[in-house]
Amino acid sequence: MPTDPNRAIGEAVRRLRERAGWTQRELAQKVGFDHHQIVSTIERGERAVKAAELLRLARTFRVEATDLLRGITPEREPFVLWRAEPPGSSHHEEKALFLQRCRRYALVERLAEVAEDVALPEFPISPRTGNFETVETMAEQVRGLLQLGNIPGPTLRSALENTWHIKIFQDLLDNGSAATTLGEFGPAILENAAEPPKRRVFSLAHELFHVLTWKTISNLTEEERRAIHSSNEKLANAFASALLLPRGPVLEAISQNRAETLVDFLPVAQTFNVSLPALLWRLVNLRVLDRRAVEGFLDPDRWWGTTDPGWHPPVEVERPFPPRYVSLAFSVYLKGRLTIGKLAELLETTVGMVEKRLVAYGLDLEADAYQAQVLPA
Amino acid sequence: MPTRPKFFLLDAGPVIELHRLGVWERIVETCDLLVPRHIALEEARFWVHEDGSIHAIHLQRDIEAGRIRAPEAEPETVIEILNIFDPVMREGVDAGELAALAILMDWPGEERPVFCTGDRLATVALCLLGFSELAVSLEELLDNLGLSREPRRQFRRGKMDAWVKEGTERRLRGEGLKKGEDDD
Repeated sequence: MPTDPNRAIGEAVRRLRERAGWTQRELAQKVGFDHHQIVSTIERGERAVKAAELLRLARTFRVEATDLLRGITPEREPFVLWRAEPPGSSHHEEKALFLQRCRRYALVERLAEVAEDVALPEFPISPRTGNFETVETMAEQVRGLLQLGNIPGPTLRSALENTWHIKIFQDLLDNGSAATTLGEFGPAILENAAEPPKRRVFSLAHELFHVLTWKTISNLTEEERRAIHSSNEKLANAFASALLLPRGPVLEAISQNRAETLVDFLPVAQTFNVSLPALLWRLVNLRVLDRRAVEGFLDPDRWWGTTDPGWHPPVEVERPFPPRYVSLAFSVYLKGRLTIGKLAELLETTVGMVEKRLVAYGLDLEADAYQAQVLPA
Repeated sequence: MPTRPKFFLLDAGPVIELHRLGVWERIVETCDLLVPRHIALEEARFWVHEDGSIHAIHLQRDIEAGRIRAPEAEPETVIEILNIFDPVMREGVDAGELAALAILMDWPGEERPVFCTGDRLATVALCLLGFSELAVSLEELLDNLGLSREPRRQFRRGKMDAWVKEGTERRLRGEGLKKGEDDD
């Protein structure tokens, strides 16, 4: 790394810009520079970058300003597996935000001294080596390992966060219903908050399949991945279905549920916290229902085809961060290891709005118990 | 605080608190105020009333009118400060607070502004750099100006005294300062 700070910053800016696939002109527009030549002179180390410019650059690249200042950039970007890749330029931006949040979560874990490598079970299952029976067995094992019980849906999220320390973020994605990655920060999942809650639970289980079979996919070339994408997605769906709707408990539940029509299965779907279509397809796979009957019933124009009744996608994500992340960041602040400005940055807000952000997670900056810790006198 | 201060460098918290207390205009009229540019334009932008309503802070207007100064930190000085801290300390302080510290480090002449913050780690960082005598609470600032307002607890004199004590002790122990084995 060059010892001249301007050259170090310049080289870091060029690396990050090229990684994002932007021209100097595009970067200048995104940062708000008047001329693209400014980017050129910064990259050559011929211009002393002002602090405000540096912060705008860091924000655009989704990296920490203090790292950029010292010319530090992530060695390589972890691979992110999208269910359906976001279109055009939003792809890089979605990915950069997701990875920055993962790294910030890891920072908070380090400062909270809870960073530990949790050994996740690995399942070498891919479309070449696996089938619906192997994922059924895998789902049973995962249900046992996570102690999810007979109705896994309601407790899946907290089990993944607290037992396996999987980082789960939410965002309103333009396209692509979810994503998974595994980097130096551990495993992470990005959920699409534009999906109805029950679909999100299914998506979470689907992405869990990718986390647990990561090695089989991450080592492949882009072309190889594309070739197996569709069949791998089917395996992930089968896993999600088997995990959330365990054979025994589901069969028992439907035996106690008098169903005259397919819509009568709705209470069972509610119990398992899945959508009616998810339950019906599971019953087809368990050979309880006839495939053609279900296909005929699941008219995509009817409400259960795509969403829950009365549910509308949110305009903004109220709680984009995992509750564990916010709690850890808050506790680190209380221990005097973060400034309020850094806490605000980690929660993607400003100092004056931190309190409001914390309240959304049930935390109170002004509560006496917290004050007693953070304000020792 | 050894003598009555002539001018103040404000962190984001005190700027917000002064707006919340409704005394910002009076302070601006009475004091020579410095707010690091990053804090002025990026961090101290809103405050939330007890009733939950959100209010904008317009420091840009004050800067343009010459009512407050918003100096910009030198990146080289920020790097210098980061190289003084250990990795944990380095990761805990944000760009605005680093800018404030850099402005103090680079201040020309003997008489530096006093630094008013309501933050524990920012105060500790100040002490680690050897500037403990520059720390001042918002309560003390208000008292000196004859404004009897009661700021929230993190802005009171007692808290600041405790944090300065903590920071001074940590400096003596070298806790928070870079050691030979720390990574850059």
